[in-house]
Amino acid sequence: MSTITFSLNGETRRLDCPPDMPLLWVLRDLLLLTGTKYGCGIGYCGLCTVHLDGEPVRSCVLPISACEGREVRTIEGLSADGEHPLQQAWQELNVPQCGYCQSGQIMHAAGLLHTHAKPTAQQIEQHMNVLCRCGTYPRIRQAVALAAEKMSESAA
Amino acid sequence: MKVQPLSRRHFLRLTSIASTGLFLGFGLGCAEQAGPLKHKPTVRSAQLSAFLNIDTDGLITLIYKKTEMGQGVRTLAAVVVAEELDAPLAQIRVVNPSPSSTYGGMETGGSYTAAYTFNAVRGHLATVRQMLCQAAAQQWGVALNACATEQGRVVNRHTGETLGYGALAEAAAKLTPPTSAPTKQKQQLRLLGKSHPNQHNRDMVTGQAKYGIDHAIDGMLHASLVRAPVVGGRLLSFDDTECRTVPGFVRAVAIEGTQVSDFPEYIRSSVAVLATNSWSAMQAAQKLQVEWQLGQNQEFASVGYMQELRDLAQLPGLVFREEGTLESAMAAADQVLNAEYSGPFLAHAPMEPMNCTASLSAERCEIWVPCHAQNRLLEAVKSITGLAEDAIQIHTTLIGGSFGRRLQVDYAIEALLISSAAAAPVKLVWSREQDMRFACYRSPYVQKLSGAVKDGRIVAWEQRIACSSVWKLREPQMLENGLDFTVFMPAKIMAYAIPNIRMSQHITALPVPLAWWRASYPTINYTVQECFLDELIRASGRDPFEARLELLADDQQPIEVPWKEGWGSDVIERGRMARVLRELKAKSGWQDAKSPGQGRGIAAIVYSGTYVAQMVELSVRDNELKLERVVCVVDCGFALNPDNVRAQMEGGIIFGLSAALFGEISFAAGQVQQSNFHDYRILTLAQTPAIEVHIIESDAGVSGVGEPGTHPIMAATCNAIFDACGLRIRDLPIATKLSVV
Repeated sequence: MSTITFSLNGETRRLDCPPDMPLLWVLRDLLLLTGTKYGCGIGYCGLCTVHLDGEPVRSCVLPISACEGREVRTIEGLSADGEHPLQQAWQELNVPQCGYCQSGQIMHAAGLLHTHAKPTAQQIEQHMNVLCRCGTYPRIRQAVALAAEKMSESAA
Repeated sequence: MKVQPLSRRHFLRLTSIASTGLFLGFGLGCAEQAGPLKHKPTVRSAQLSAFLNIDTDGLITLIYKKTEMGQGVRTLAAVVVAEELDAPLAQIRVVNPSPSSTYGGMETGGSYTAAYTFNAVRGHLATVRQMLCQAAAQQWGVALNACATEQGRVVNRHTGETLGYGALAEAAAKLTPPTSAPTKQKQQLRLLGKSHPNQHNRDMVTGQAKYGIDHAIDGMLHASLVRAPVVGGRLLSFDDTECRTVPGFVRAVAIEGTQVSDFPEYIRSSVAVLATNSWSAMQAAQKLQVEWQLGQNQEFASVGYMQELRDLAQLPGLVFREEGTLESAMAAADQVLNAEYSGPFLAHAPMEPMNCTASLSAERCEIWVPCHAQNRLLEAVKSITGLAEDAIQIHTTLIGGSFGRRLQVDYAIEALLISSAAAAPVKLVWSREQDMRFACYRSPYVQKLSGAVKDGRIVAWEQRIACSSVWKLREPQMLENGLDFTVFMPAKIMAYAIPNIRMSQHITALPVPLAWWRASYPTINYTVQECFLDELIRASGRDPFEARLELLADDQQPIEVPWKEGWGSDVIERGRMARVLRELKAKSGWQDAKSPGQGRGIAAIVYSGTYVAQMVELSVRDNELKLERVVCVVDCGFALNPDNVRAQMEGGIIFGLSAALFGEISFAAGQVQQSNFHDYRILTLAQTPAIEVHIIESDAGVSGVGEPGTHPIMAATCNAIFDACGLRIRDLPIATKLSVV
């Protein structure tokens, strides 16, 4: 066991846990923050995507020890009021079906918009590699583009 | 739909259990589908119960026995309540009950929920609305027809006075229900037929939505199961010494398991590893030393099984459709084609892995589970625990996808058995690897087809199906004269007017748990039929649209094809099938010029009253397949929530494309060889084609859309590949022959 200190959605957290425990399970089972989902456990599907110092990472393969002193943001902390442009666009285009992958989709998309304020259709396709079994991909494509528009409007 | 009067007895009983506000209850005998899903909803009688609670403050709660799993039914139910009761959507809540005999069969699937909700639930709501009006009429001393409803209130047409439903509920609940209460006519509907976003969207985009896997109860242990690697294997011994090095490990307990033929579910012999969190349980499970007796299935291999099916398909099977004189038509034809088609086992692989939280004591059992066959689970819990129904509480959680997987309740029974063995509340979470290896699968198949063309027209068709049967394995009493009609009906209802037809079936029982899959046997049969039809059409030099339309030209009478005795029938309307095809031809750019390597293919199906035609446009260059565009035309009668119909078509298409391109579960030495999404691939966003959905309305009532989007896509894709490069795909998945970019 070791003591880990990190920032979670803007608050400092300090906890004792095995250093190799993946961030995903720390969030879900120790901190009861369940918006981040388990999908594959091998960093492949992307459902567990969170931000580490602003970068999307797959928390199911990220040992908690790697978070020491760093900033973690989850879907619960993406926006104060649930009104991030991505969250708005997702609702406007009625993206979710079962919804289980959507936390990961949105957190991954947020990473793209952070580096590319106006992503091209091709950049969206290349970046958005989080799996969805319900088949919401066509709407995700549109929603990422719509969110980028919303962000550029509010920045203007 | 005949709606029977509400029974006074139900009112009294239910009023007594309502803690706040008032219950308007109904326990109506109502025509509805039951059992494993594969028949028309309008014919089989089963007990239906639904309940509507109106609080004194006007909050309306529909206690709804259909389960949300991404197909939008909870939102649909709320809209139906708002529509039929004239109440604001914001005032309506939809919840699932714990299954019980009060509610009758609680099972969601088969694309029947929209029709059920539109017909049966709306019928009850009409009765309730009339009772609310009656209560207001009495209070005002006016005739019933002086009362109208709007915005959750009854309005006095003469004076304009209003009374809220909350204020009327108590008086209404004391009335004798009317013997008949008409539902609204289609032209009176103001909400149904318009698009409504899913009500759960906000929770889902903010991480607040709670799925089964998110559930936690005080004092629970987290469990990971180490299961016998081969079906029928038995635990000999285990050693948990190494597990004790994992922080959080609590203990390991043996779970006995059942036989694969056991109904309702097969439970593997296993060891439950318990810990204080999921990760520790999974880590410790990997360190458990186990000795198994692998048993008689340790040699099972899908290669051998496919050969067995291939051998069977060489011989005529049990005939389920015979028309005309096949042999003489074949002999007199200009051209005869023969082909063999096959497809592998498929997994459902929903994104939320199987999980269940269970708490069992001597007196009581409580379960939180993402499941949509709650009745099946209730019966299993009763028989395992010996508890009476009222001591069993089953909470249906949100479901992170199912596609048929969660019609099986094995994972819930496992959690219950672990809770019993550990004498503690337990949450069981399957790892993804377990989800791939210990699942229940869609049957593989081999089909042998022969067809004949004379004067440019298809005149003879022979189809032999060989596959394994869900029923033969576990519910053999459902077979009729050795035939499994869930396997053959989708073939039997082939709509095309071919004068000489023989179709036959071979079914086997496998030492592998099988399950219904989003459109399992329909997809198999439609894929094979629409591909072989394309072969015959192309061989005779005809246009795929024109040749199909010619075979659908005789549309005078709907054709009724009966299911098994007592299960009703399917109805085929060739005119509706022709209409979706004509619309597809008009909308798809079928005749536009193609670039080199580009190809187009089509397929069309009818399923339980819904007609779908799809065109796939793709390219094959240097052995690389790129999906470009799918155009889909759907006629589901009255499209209740059009945007949701589009979403279901998009999802159904992508689900079918994943299977067609990549889907394959294989067995070697009795064990599944795939383990996760890297080797059981599903479509990615970048591989997904542009999808256009066109809905055409018809007056044919309401039919489902959950599965029919999946049905034609595999065949349309294979047909497009042939068009692009001349490669005829008969054995799925496609990725064994072409790489997908």
